[in-house]
Amino acid sequence: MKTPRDIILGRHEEAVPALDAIRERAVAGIAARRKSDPGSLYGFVEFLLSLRWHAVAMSVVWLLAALLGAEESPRAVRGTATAGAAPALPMAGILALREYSEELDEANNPPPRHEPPPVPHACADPRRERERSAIA
Amino acid sequence: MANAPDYLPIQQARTGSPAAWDAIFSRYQLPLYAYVCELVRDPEASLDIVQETFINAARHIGALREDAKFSSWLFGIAHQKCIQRWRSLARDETLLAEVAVAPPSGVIDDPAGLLIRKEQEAEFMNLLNSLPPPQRSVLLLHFIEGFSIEEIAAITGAQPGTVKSRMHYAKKALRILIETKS
Repeated sequence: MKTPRDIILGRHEEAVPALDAIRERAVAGIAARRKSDPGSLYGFVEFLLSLRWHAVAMSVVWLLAALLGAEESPRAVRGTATAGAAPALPMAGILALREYSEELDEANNPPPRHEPPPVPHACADPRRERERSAIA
Repeated sequence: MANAPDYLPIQQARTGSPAAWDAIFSRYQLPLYAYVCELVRDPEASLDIVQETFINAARHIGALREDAKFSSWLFGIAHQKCIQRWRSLARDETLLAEVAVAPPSGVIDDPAGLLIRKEQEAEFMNLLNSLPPPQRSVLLLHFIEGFSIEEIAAITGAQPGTVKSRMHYAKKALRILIETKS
């Protein structure tokens, strides 16, 4: 007893060598097309596949860098917080900035100079006076 | 489908791998040839059609959306080649015309479930060959690859209801043959 499939395929068994030859020709054509046309999709896909390990390695490196960076930043914040006696108040910073800006203003726009009044020589050195009177 | 568990390297074939195409062609070369040869009844022309089908499949694999539908897609290419050949031979178009039949009421059997005795093989083939091409095509696709109604409709470009009715009458004729001879 056979299934219809067995009967139908069995009738064409003698064509298998010819079909093998056709298959080989078709596969050879595919291989030749692939080699002669490297700029095609096949070539592009092969190029991408050749880069896959490089891409994986680079991804791992970037992942490590990102992880290390993520661990580093909270530690740095913690370090500054513990090293200082107390965290600087924002008000003190504002005041320091204002002071600095005032200094800058002064440096850029100096206030008008007032000449000091000439000092009268009214009060002479009494020692010299005495010496003069003694010589005289 | 009768051969659904077969592994087919469709993804590799999409990248143009010759080894993948070799595996695929090895799997389908005989069923495809048997189908074409039973339809066109010319061994040389059938070999040409199989070759053209392979070349077209390798060139247009990008047009296949779902890997699971590869076999029906491949048989669809071969079926179109058969129709082109019929047309080029200027055969009567009525060969491809609809066979006026009523819709079936029965359920279609499993193709592997139908067993034929050795002495009935020649009669089975005679009956198959006596069917008009649309019915023969449906029955061949069902028996060779175990395609479903929807798949056969996609391959032949017919409506599922039409495929169902063709299948029903072809099987009915087959049953009559088996029962009368046994």
